[in-house]
Amino acid sequence: MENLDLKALIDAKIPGEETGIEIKTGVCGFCGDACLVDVYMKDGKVIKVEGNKSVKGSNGKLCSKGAALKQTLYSPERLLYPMKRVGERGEGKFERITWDEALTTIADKMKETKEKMGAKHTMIYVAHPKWFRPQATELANGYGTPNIGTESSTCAYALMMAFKSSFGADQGMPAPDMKNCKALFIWGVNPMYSKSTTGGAAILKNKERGMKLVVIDPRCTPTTEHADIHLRPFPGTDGALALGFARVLITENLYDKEYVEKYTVGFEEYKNYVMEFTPEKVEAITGVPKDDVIKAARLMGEMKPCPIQMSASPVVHNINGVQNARAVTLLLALTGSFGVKGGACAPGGPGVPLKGKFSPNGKIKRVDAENDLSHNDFPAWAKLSAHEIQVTKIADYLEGKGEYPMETLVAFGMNHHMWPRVDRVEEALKNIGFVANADIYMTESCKYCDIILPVQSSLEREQVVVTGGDTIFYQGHVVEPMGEARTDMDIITGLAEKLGITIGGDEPIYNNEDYLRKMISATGVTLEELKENPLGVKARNMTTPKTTEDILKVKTPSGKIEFVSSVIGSCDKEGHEGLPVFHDFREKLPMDEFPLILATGSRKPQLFHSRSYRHPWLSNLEKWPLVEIHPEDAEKLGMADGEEVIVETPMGKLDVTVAYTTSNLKGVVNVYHALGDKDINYIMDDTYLDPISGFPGYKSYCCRLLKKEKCHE
Amino acid sequence: MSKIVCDKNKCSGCLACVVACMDQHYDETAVDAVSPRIHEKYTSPRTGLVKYVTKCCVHCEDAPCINACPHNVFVKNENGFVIINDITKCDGCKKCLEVCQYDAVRFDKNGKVVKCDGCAERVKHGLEPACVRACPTGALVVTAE
Repeated sequence: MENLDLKALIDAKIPGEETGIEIKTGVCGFCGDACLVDVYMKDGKVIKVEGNKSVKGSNGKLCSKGAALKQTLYSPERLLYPMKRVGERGEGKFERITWDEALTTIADKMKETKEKMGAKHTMIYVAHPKWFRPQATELANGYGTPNIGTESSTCAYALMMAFKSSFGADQGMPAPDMKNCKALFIWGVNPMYSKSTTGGAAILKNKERGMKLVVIDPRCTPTTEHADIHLRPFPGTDGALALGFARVLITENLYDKEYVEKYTVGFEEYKNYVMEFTPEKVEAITGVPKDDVIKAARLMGEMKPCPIQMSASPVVHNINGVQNARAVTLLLALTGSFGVKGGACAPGGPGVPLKGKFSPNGKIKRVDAENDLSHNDFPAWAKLSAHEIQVTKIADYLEGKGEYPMETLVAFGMNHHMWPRVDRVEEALKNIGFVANADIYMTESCKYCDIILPVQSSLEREQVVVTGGDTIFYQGHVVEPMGEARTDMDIITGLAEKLGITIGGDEPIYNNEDYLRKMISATGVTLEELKENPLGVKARNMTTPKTTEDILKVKTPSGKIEFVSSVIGSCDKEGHEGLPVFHDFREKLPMDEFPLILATGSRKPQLFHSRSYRHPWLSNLEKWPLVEIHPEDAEKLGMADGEEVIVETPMGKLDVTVAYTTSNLKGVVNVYHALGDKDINYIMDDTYLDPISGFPGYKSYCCRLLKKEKCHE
Repeated sequence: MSKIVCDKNKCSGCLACVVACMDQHYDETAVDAVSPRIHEKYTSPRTGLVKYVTKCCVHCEDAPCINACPHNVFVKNENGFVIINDITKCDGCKKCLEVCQYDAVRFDKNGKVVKCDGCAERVKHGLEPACVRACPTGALVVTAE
């Protein structure tokens, strides 16, 4: 009987001495949010995961991806040893080698490229995760190439450029002061999915205290379900809607005159421009009924200061993306909402002082930046995202169609499926001189490499995270590193050693632990202390919070918030207007032949780019690839729910399955990205880019749907 | 007895409960795992939003599946949960599904029945069922009736 009882306890994974099941706290690491998880361990193996609720800042909740952590950790596709290619590029045939051989091969190739052609013919590239970007930049600097790029070439930086151009170089994204605002505008985000453990809960909590919620999103989402007003513009028309709001605010005298006079420049020119955007015109462009435009704008004016919550990509994945995002964010200036309590980028509390270049968000100045690959293609990028290159034209760059050819590519977590025309990138990867990639899994990108390096996943990697505003949490090896996997930091320092470079400059680091010590050195807390305190330690030193006065000393060329951007306006290139001008993407597309707007790259709760698809518990939740379409649009085409059809863009065709959804706007279809050889990015145009940011128009391209039988004609 | 219910208005369709259920009940190598927690599409009558909501066995007071099963696969335990007593006896006849008004039983690739066990052992030890523990919106709750 006793044995049966014990078996029941073990089967149910009940922690305790009897069962030998213990709980360790770790960092999830599946996406970028670093949620803390409680990992159930038996005999050194993870048997179950739950959301942590004992460390400050954790609420015990989990998302679907976090719940699959065990499967992601023990995936059969994990890379365990350094390997060298023995087959053709793309074939995926490799042979195990030692770390020494792997690092020596990469370093020798880099040295050879530098001697024969010059260091700038080597590109360093960092994708997911992001935390070691500053040190990767130091590696590039020490070696001598300005050509370091990241996945931010299609994620977040365009929104940051929009914000920096008007509100100053030190700005990132406009963070809402949700606790203190009377109304919140959520513009194109669904926090119920993209930050489901905490983001959705914060909105619901603030709604309970009486906060009004306006959501701008073409689709119905679990977030729009809670909105007091839900506006549904066509993708890519956000700029026109925001300019329409501005007209209502100005003509009805609902803007903050005193703030505008004191803290901004360019208002008259802006005012003249926005007067074009009458509610009737806005309705015609965006599809949002004019009365709703007026109603939402009045609410913004009456409840000001009023923050706007945005996300990395939705608005800026459009060929007018930066200007559209500028039109949206300039509403923060018009309503006097930037830098004030209850607005956006409000004076906050003190923060934990992670040390400059050793902080994951640290920015390092590049050497020889004026000779990088992308500065002539994207001059505004060069000024506003100056710490790296814009990589979207990677196929051109690798093929030698940039200013000078690329010979060597050394990458970390590279996923070439994130770029449009994946086929072109693959062809280019076959032909470049040398490619190396470090990753957790044997990805499609790894298959094109000469050398691949195994990386520790989050639970294996010693790391430090800040949580709950003031608490520092240390995670040791929750799970022993698999095979010979190393941390990205140890790979960078290892490669630096082979190249005769030191990372960290006058504060040298030689491994991941050195890095962690330097990172927390200004907090007054030591690594030893952290290791002894599994619930984390409160930082002893904190940063001084910024006041409204500090924040409003904006770092633009004029020193004021710029309605007319001097940085963008001074770029001598087409499409670089100082005003947040609205250009309609539909005028550039063959909409007569391809009448549906194609939006790609949205989030499903179980998806995080290509990663989810390799884990069966996540990928099996739905059938792929789907094209989501309003039933009325589908019925007009004679297409049934679940029917296998073809989506065709001007670039090509892809087999998809129809999924009816009344969440969609009529005239707009969604296809999710990053599905291996069925990736929609194969048929996205790589010349369909925002001239200012270089971002592809992923959220507003064009397509048509074809019945399968018709296609054989 | 107790059962786990999903508030369709609060549920965001994030599917954390479904994967948490698999994590609780399966080894990661079970790539064809069938989750006892079932997700199905739901359309909001107010807005047209289409999302997933979830359901599972509600552990009926007078559970018809227990008597319908010719092989005595199911049993009611001391806490009122309808649990699988002996899976080896299941021959996949689906009589249980025929009598279940909630369509809350499923079958794995070998034809064996899969259903919610209420995380009975966890509940006995003062823990929440895995799905309820994960739910970020508070849509899933255990109710005692």
